[in-house]
Amino acid sequence: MTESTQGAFHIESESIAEGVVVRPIGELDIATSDELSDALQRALDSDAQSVVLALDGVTFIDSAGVRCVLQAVAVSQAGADKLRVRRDHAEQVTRLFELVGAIDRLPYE
Amino acid sequence: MVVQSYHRPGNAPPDLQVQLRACPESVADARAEVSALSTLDAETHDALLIVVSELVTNAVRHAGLPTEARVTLRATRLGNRVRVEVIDGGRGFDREQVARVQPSAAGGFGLRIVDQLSDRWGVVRNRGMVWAEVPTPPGAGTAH
Repeated sequence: MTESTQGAFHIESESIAEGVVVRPIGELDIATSDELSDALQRALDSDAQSVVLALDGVTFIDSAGVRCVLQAVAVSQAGADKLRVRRDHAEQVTRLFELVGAIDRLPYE
Repeated sequence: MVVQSYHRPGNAPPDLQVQLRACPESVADARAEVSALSTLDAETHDALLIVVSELVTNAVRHAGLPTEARVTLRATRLGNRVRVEVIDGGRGFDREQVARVQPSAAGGFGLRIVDQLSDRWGVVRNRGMVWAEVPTPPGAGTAH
């Protein structure tokens, strides 16, 4: 497991048999979403067969975080479509995706 | 609902007034300041955090401010709602954006969210201010 730290926010990356799990920990906003975008892009560019985005460690998300996730989804779907999102995220995350009308665009596992 | 003009509610003094640096890291600081307001019910608290996050994000992202600039955040409890004001001293946000918002657009999500979580919001362009009023549930707002 590798971790990068920027203040309280950080991203955990865990290798699993099928690929890699990317798990942002903390608050996902304009100050932290670039770090997640970079991590997801690296994972999508890697040899991993699948990339799982686990948002269970996200304690707050706003439109910057939503945008970052949806951009990664779009990149994935334009390519090998190997990004999946775990369903175990907090209700606040669900709410934000619902508020922007994008909950159906999350490629759940 | 987008309100075209400036509605200053009486002379109520703000419950919170802070100045933040015009940088991305200030968005979390703004949430922390609002989160520390007492006597907010959970529903209002959660909606306010999101609204403040969006408004301050717009201020630090779009206002074209120099890094030494400051953004003012105010929050005022007003009976059945909480009003937040974000003043960047610059040109403020483009209220017309809301008419152009597309779900797939790179931007625009923030304004959609503010529009849905607030009773009303608006822009006072010549003051570089955007404001929004988040409703509180009946009977809430007095409990700690």
